[in-house]
Amino acid sequence: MIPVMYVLALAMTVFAIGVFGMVSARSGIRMMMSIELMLNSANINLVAFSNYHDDISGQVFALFSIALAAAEAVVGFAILLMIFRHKGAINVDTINILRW
Amino acid sequence: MQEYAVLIPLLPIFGFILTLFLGRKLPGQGSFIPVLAIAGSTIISVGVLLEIYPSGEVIHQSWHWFSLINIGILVDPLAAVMLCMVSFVSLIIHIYSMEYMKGQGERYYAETSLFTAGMLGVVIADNLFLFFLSWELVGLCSYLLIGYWYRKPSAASAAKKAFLVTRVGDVLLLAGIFITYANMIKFAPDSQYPLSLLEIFRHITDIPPLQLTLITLLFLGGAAGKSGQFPLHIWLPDAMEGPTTVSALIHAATMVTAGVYLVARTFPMFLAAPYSLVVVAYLGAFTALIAATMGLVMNDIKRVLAYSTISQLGYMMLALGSGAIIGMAAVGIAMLHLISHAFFKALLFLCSGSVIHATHTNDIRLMGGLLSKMKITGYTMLIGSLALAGIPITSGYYSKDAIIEAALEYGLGSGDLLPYLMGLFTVLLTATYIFRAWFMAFVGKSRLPKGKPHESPWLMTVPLIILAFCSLVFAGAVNSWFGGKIFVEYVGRTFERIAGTDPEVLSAMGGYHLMEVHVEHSFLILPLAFAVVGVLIAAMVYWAKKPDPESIVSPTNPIYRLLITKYYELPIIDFISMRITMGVAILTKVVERIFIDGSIWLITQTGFLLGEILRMAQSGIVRHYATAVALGTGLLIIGLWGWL
Amino acid sequence: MNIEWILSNYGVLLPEAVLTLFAFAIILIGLKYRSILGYLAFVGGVVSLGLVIMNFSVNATLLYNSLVFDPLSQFFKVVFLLVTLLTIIASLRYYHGNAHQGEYYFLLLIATVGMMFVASANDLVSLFVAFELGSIATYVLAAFDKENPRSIEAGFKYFMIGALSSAILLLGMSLIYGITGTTNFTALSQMSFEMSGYTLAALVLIIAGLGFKMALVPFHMWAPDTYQGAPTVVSAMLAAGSKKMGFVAAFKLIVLALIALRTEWYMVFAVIAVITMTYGNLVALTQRSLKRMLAYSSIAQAGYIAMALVVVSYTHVDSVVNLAMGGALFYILSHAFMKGGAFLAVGTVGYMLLRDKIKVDEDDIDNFSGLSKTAPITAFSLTVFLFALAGIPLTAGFVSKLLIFSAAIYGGLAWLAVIAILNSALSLFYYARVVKVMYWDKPKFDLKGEPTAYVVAVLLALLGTVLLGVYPGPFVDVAMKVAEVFL
Repeated sequence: MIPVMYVLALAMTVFAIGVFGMVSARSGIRMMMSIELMLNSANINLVAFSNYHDDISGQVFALFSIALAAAEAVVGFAILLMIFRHKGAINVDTINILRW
Repeated sequence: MQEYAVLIPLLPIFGFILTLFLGRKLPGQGSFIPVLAIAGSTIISVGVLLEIYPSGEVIHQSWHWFSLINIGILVDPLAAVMLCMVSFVSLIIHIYSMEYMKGQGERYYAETSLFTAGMLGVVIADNLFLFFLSWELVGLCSYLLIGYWYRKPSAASAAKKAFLVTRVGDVLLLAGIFITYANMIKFAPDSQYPLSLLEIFRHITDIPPLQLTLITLLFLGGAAGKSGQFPLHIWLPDAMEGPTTVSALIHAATMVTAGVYLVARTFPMFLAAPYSLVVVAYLGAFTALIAATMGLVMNDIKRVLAYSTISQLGYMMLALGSGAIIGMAAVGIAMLHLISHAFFKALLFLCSGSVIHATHTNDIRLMGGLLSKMKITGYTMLIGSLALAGIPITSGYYSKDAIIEAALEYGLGSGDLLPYLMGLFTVLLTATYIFRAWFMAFVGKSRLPKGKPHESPWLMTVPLIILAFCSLVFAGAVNSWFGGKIFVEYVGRTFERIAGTDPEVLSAMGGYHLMEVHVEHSFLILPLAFAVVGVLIAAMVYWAKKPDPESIVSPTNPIYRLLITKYYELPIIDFISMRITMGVAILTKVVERIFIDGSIWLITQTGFLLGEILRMAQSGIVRHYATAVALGTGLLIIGLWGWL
Repeated sequence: MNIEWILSNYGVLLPEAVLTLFAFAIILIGLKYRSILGYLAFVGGVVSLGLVIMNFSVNATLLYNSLVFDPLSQFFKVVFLLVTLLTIIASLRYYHGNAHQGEYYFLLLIATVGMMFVASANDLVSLFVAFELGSIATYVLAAFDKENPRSIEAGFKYFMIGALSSAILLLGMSLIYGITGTTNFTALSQMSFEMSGYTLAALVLIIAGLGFKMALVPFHMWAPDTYQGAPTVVSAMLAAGSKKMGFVAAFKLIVLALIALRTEWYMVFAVIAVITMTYGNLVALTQRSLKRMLAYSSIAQAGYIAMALVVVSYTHVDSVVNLAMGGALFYILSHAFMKGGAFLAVGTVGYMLLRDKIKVDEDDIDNFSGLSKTAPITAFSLTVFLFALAGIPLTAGFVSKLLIFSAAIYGGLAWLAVIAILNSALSLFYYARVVKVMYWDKPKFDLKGEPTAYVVAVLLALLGTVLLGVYPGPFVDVAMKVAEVFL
């Protein structure tokens, strides 16, 4: 059996990639992908810990969170679509009429 | 009537709300609403006084508010007479201003109504918390009203000065209230509402005397701020920038009397506090004297009256201070003068308003010979001046005489005659300065550059006549003519009635020796003689012109220069503030600006600058926000790791 | 299994059930009759509020202890429903005739249901699901005026940071689950933790994830942009309602479940509270947009409320803990009125400008000059709200600040109270500036009459603000009673 530490390290790496993507991506789509990465790293954690503790609730939690991630993605893409309609592009750095 | 007592401060608040919102749409800018509201307050106040007077009972109603604070009203003899005076004088002034402030905006009427409400709240409050709230309301309204013509720079700066100077007093008062609270919690833990006046009076003996001294001196600081006692008197003359009716309100009914009332209200605490009453007596006598000398040289008719108010408030403080020998009767004597002063000072201000209305100038050097054109104003002002000078039959004679006598008893009892002598000499000055103003304005040749003065309309003269009547008969009627000292005895027994405080026990705590002092009758003629001499001096110089006033009033005369610069008031303030802020002498004028306006300016500007810098972080780019979240989380983890 | 059995066991769920039913009914009815939707939503909110108040002092758990119904949860539900009702009343005018009203009220009610479930959550899973329900619905609401680029931008930023935060929150929750092996709060609260890097990381991740909703610095940056850009009725709901969802989640997850870690979070919250209130007040000083200023002031207010968390973790004296948490609850209730009212009052002016076809930035401070002449009720109410936010006596803000500050002093954190008091003094500057502009300056625009729906909403909020300030006694008692949960 793979030790839980390895899985945790994998999850943290994925999360870090997600954070990096969030901070560096100029495209809205990439930001959405980064968010998915981060949410899924937490899911990896949940499933691994569920296995480790021999307790089912972690997997249930992961299922719920996958469903919520889907819902979130729907809303996110809808908003991005709207931005695309207004500006013809989804470069997030140009979305800054509200500032200071 | 008793069950309606709570309406006394509430009616003017309703008046305020109605006038503010509906005033514009009503005839006369709704000026009749506050008049009706305050008339209601007056009727209830008088009704309550008549009801409680014969039995000597006390009305106390209290409701739970939150935790250790209650809302309550306390109408004892002290509060009852004060309520009647405040509401009545305020009513008269409101009627007068229906004409005087016609067309100047409904905001004026709304704010004066709120002003009155605040003062009535101060008087009727049964705990220090509510007292302080109302006190602050009074301060806020005075700021708004003094700066009523806020487009005029001098008015705006006068309002700011009044606000800042009285703020100093407010902070002291607040500190005093905090210390009272702490002491009550500590020494009287079972009391339900530690800030309730009745509870405090009941537990005075539990509080250490030196704590009481600290508390009462802080209270006195608050009173000095509101009542314009030295050295916090500087805002009062500047406050003349407001409309004259506002000056009348501030000086007679609301605001300045609040300070004296505070000392009277908490008098048992003063009586139990070592040294405090001596400080009160000296502060009062000194203020009375110094303000009277400054009043001698002012050329603005309203400023003469302003200094006279400071001086008379000093008398009231002196009366309270002499309680160190005469006990609780001091409260009665101070209140007698407070009320009789309210009548004649309101009268004098309204007369001067009428004069200003007619001549469009404040400068008495430009007036003269007005008596023939403005008969009612002239004669009512003469009555007011006689009362202020303390000439017999008038109200001022009886009330001021009582104070001088109390000061003499204090002097003989304690062997310290200085306050008495200062008070006595002030009588002479008072008579001189007020008659100087009256002679310059009303007799001799007219020096008006243009325009024909005329008598004011009836809405303004009727209040004058009513007030003149009160100034003539009030103190004599209640305290001399019918059966002796009715008023002083009634008000002086306030504290026995509400809390059963025994003056002997309290004064023993404070280290004062109460005693009956026998005063030779021949001494009592002295104030009268001084007053008459004062009037004669004024008549000789400013009516008969022997010696010619021109020869005295010249910049080369050092005494005149000392007085016209108000004892070099501004340079002294500059000097002091300079020492505090820098310790080094730079330009005195500049330093004063830095000290008062500058510090506030500096704080806000630093705030604005920091704000400007910090808001740059908000770049509007969502990636940066994400970075902030990520960095913040990372830093918190690292920082917490390091901290543990 | 008959209806009575359901009612007796699941009766506590009725408020949420009613609201959900109304939400779905609205979206169906909205296909044909648009004009009655707002009133329908209002009725649903009132019924639900009535049911919550009827069941105020319940004590029940549901679904294997994953939902709990106690005075704490009911208190927050009352706050959420009150804010939603105020928002609905104002929206009656703002979205009058809008083609997408059905979706709007649906989302509003569903967001409220989510917030209510957060208040009842007693398990990491139920908390996360409810939190997301409450969040996702509000992302859409913030971007609801889809013709307006500002609104979309507001929704976009809100969504991005929100999604990031929920990922962070989920990671923190997964770590907690990994350390303890349970997701239930009751079980967590009895757990003793071994100090390790994992616990620290889990704690900070959770604070960061919830800090987004509470708008604590540095997780606050979405808030000014979103509050400014979103439709003002939605901003009111976000600032006054949705933000409290973060607080109730923090109270439940951090104060109740992770109480064993109190020494660890003491320092985190002390630093965050001080930075938050100072930053919010300083930046608010320089704002010209009133909505933005209110947003920063809202950040500062979050800092004051967060003081309660500092006090709770620092002291172990029951009476002080009770005072701090009771104060925080009272603050949350009064903040709902003050901030909701202030946003709605600003929205009134924005709506009047829109209606009278005056093309300017809807919330620039210049638009408010001389408002006392053109819109006296709004101007007066806004004055009261601003003074309340500054903490002037006789308003709700004063009592709430008094409670929290005195809790800090009694708890031995006098330095914190001093910073907070200095901050409130500073805040008076920017609030007073608005009042000055409204009462002293000359009117700039000729506005014709105040819209009734807005006025009703503003006056209700005013009533709440003044009532809580003038007669706080019973409400403070209730808040204290509710706060006994934390002992």
